[in-house]
Amino acid sequence: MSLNKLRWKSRKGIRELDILLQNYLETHYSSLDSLDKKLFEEILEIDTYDLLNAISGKSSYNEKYESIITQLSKLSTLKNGKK
Amino acid sequence: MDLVKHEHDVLVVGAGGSGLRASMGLSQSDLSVACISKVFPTRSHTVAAQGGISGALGNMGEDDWRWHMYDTVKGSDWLGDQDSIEYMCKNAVESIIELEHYGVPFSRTEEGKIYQRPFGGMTTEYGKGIAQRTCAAADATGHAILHTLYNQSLKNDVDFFVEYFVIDLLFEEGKCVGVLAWCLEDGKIHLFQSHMVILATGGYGRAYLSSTSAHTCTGDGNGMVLRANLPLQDMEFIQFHPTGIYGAGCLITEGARGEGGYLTNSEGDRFMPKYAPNAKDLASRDVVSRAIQMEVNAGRGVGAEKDHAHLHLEHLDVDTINNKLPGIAETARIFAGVDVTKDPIPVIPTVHYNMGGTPTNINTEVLDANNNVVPGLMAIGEGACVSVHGANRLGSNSLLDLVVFGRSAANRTLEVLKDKPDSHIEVSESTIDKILSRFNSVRNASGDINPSEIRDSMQKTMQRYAPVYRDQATLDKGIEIMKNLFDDFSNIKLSDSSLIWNTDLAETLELNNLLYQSLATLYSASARTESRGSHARDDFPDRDDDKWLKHSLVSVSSEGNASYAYKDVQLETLTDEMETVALKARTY
Ligand SMILES: Cc1cc2nc3c(=O)[nH]c(=O)nc-3n(C[C@H](O)[C@H](O)[C@H](O)COP(=O)(O)OP(=O)(O)OC[C@H]3O[C@@H](n4cnc5c(N)ncnc54)[C@H](O)[C@@H]3O)c2cc1C
Repeated sequence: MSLNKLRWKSRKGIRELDILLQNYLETHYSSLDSLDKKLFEEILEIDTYDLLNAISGKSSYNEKYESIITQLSKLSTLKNGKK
Repeated sequence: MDLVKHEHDVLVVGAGGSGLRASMGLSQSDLSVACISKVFPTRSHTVAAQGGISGALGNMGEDDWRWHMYDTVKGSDWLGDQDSIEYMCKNAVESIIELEHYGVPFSRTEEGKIYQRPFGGMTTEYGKGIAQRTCAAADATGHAILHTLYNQSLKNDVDFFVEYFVIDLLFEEGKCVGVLAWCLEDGKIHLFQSHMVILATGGYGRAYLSSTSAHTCTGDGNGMVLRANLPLQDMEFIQFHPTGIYGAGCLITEGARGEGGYLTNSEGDRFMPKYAPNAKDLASRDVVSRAIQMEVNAGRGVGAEKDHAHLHLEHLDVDTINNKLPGIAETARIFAGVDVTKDPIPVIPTVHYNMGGTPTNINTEVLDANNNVVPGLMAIGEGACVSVHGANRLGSNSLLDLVVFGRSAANRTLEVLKDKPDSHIEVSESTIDKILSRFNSVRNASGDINPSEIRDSMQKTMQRYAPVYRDQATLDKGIEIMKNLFDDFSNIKLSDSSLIWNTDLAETLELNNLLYQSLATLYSASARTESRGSHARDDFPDRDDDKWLKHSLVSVSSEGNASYAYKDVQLETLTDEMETVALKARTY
């Protein structure tokens, strides 16, 4: 999927996720291998709240997404540390 | 450019709560219905609504739609039209029960009734007690409504055109006859013809730097309306949510204060009782936002910059937080780095809702500057101004607005199209060329300025020159800067002129819509020399009913110049079941 298309698909309708996903696309995505890139595409299709809950550690998710979800959840705290 | 052609009886532009409610209602008739959305329907911003939807069901104690109406009129600071407000509040119960039947999983009381919680500004007996009027589906009411309505619409054969970006409306001899849209996936331009277009494109929170809005909230329909030389109404009224997370903008729902949360300043004092002795922390949004800014202005803000406040939930028991406010603990942890059971959340007033938008009558038909119906065009949802929220919307009244007027748009369309014409009005080449030439000039733009620079400046300008508190000098300065940014748009450069998944182009078209709306907002705010609801002028601190009990209508020309018109507020109610809520000072 093109980076542009991914950017559009990172619009999940809520600000929290839009911030996290776009941030991830800009900072992490390009260094992923092709398998992880594919997984990230799948992650963008997860239901908005399921994804938010997964990132915030509130609910479980398919373990194949673990490394990306963990990165996403760290990303958020990191950004806050800077603020 | 070759156009891909489509014909439908009705086009709904937007698949948020309002667009889907209208689509669903229409799909139960024999009209052919298309719903066009730039993002997948369940990614619409309605998904973000957490707190709930209001309606006088009376499940938690006595309630009455008249009390709800009184609260809404008072909340609107008397700028809301009382006929529309009566219509909305009276139809609330039925609309919510309908949602329940379609399958929205509302939270329940122990007896199995829909659970209702208190919300800012919602009272019983005309301001005496605190009402529990807001129905919620856990903390994801918007999500539940959106998914339910989407599934119902699919079942009823609505034709969805997803990831199609509507560029502009098509008019022939003053009648709206369809839209031109760009399909992000196939890169083609599609011509949609219809007998009725219903705009449901949502608010324009992204005009500001700090807002609770998702990236999609660019109010595109309002931009289209302005470019069609039609006015927007009451654009100066923008609601700041008192409790956006400092720095991130993410929202801490009012439900948090509904369940017992409270605000403090740098001295650790609870300051709300000083500003709203009765409602305290549950006063309506503008009152709370202003109180926070007053504390900050008085040097009692918290944090290194002393520019925000603290919201406390530590005193609530963990079960209440987890059961009644589950999303909040997580949001606070991720975006503020705070454990709400131990520490307060840093919060700041953040742009949250647009009361203004495309003017319509009570049947959702769009009106021109002379108050005449524009044939073939309707508007609903946050992008419309019917006007039920007036100068300030009460929390949980927006979801209600979406479903009540979404339904009403469908019903009115059925009436208007009872004797629908056999064929569509032909769209002339010149009409299409004009729109395509704007589209192509943006796509092939080879000027000097990067659109993202204009976007940044626009957002900062709105934040700084059209904040909670305004005065003539700041607003006029804002107009000057925004006018320049508007002009700069004709000197942008785009590096990519392709048509398939060119998100730069999409975002630049959105930027153009935001610039139009930002100007409309500043113009209206600068003209209104009074304070009312969310429009708080330092230099005109009082409401001025003699001069300003009227709606502002502003049009913006393609050169960025304004023309103004005004119209009376409808003080008369719809029926004699309720008397006019008489003007008085708005205190909580
Ligand atoms: C964080 C948050 C919480 C909220 N909580 C509550 C609450 O608890 N209760 C309440 O009553 N209200 C709440 N609100 C307000 C409420 O959610 C919104 O006012 C409402 O959802 C707007 O719905 P809508 O149908 O007008 O538009 P949206 O849901 O914004 O949908 C707009 C639609 O238009 C489409 N669209 C836009 N432009 C184009 C284009 N150019 N071409 C094609 N399609 C286009 C989009 O794809 C989308 O489908 C909340 C708002 C926020 C930000």
